[in-house]
Amino acid sequence: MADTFTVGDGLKVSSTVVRRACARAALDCPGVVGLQPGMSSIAQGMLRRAGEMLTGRAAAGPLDGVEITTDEQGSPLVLLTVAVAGRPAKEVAIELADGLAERVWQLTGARPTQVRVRVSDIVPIGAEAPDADTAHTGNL
Amino acid sequence: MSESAATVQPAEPARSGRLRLPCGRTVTRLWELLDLRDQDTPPTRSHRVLEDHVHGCPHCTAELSRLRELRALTTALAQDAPRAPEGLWSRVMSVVRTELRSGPDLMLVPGDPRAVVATAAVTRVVRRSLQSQPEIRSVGRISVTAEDGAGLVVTVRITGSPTAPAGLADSAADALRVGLADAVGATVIRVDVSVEADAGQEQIDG
Repeated sequence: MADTFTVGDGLKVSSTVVRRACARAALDCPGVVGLQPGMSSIAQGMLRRAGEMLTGRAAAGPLDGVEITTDEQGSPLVLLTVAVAGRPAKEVAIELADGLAERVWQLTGARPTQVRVRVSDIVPIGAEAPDADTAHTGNL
Repeated sequence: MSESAATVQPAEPARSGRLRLPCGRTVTRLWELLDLRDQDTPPTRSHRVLEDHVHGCPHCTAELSRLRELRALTTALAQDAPRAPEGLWSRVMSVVRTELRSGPDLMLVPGDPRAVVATAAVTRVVRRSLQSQPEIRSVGRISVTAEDGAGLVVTVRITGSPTAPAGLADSAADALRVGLADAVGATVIRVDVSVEADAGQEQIDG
C-alpha cells in the first residue's frame, strides 16, 4: 500500500488520512453500526502492531475495518468490513460501494477507484453488537 | 450569494495540476487562508482580497468547509496519544474466531462482487428469524449458499413444538423470507425447511 496519494498541485495525502476519511464516511452511512477488522487486516497489521507494542502505541483500532490497496495508477482501492443494523445489509453495502468514493474525494482529494464492502455482521435492532471488542463505532 | 448550495461544485483538477474552483480560486490559496486564520497571522493584501471574495462565494465557502474537515482529520491523526495496548490479544483472537466461523462470502447483488455478506451473518439472521416463532421448538443445522450467482438458497432443519400446526414448514419458510428481506435484502431464490418429529427430547440449539 502506498504511504501517500498525490491529489494534484503538489499535495499529498497520507494513506492513513484516506483510511480515516473512509471510516468517517462509512460510519456516517445510516445502518452502519461499526467497522470490524477482517483476517487479512489482522495479518497485514500484525508486524505494525508488534512495533506499536514495543513502542507503547496501541493498534489503530478505529481504522481496522478499512483496508486500502492501490491500483495500477496508484489510486486507492478500498475494502470496508462493516456491521449493520436497522437497514437491509444489501442497501447499506450498495450505498457505501456507490457513494463512499465521492465522499472520500471531497474530504481528501484522493478518489478511490473502487470501494468493496463486506458485511461481517447483521446486528438485531436493540441488541448490543456481538464481538463488541472488535467493532469500532466512532472515536475517530 | 446568487447561487444555491445545490450548484456548488467541488474543486476539479485543472490542466496545470492545480485544484481550481469554478470561481477561479485555487485550493492552495484557500488552504493558505485557512493557515492564516488558524495561526492568527496578519493577512497580506492579497489574502484580504481573497477573504472578501470568500464571504460571497459559495464555491470557496464549501471548499473551505471541506478543507476544515480534512484539517480536523489530519490534526486528529497527528494528536493520537500513545496508549497502552490493552486488550489487543483478546481482540486479535476474537477476530480470528469470528473469521474462522464466518464461512465464504455471499454476493448481495448477483454478479456484483463489490457488496458481499459473510455466510455466518446470514446464518445468524436465519436462526433469529426462526427462534422468534413460538411454534418452533428448536433450530438445527442451517445451510446458506449462493446458487449460480442468482441469489441465496437456504436449507434448515427445525423441530416443532408439540402444539405446532400443520404446515409448519411453510410458515417457517415465510418467516424466514420476511426476516431475510428485512435484515439482508438479498434475493432469496429458495428456502427449504424440513421439520423433524419431536421425539420429546429437550435439545435446544443455540
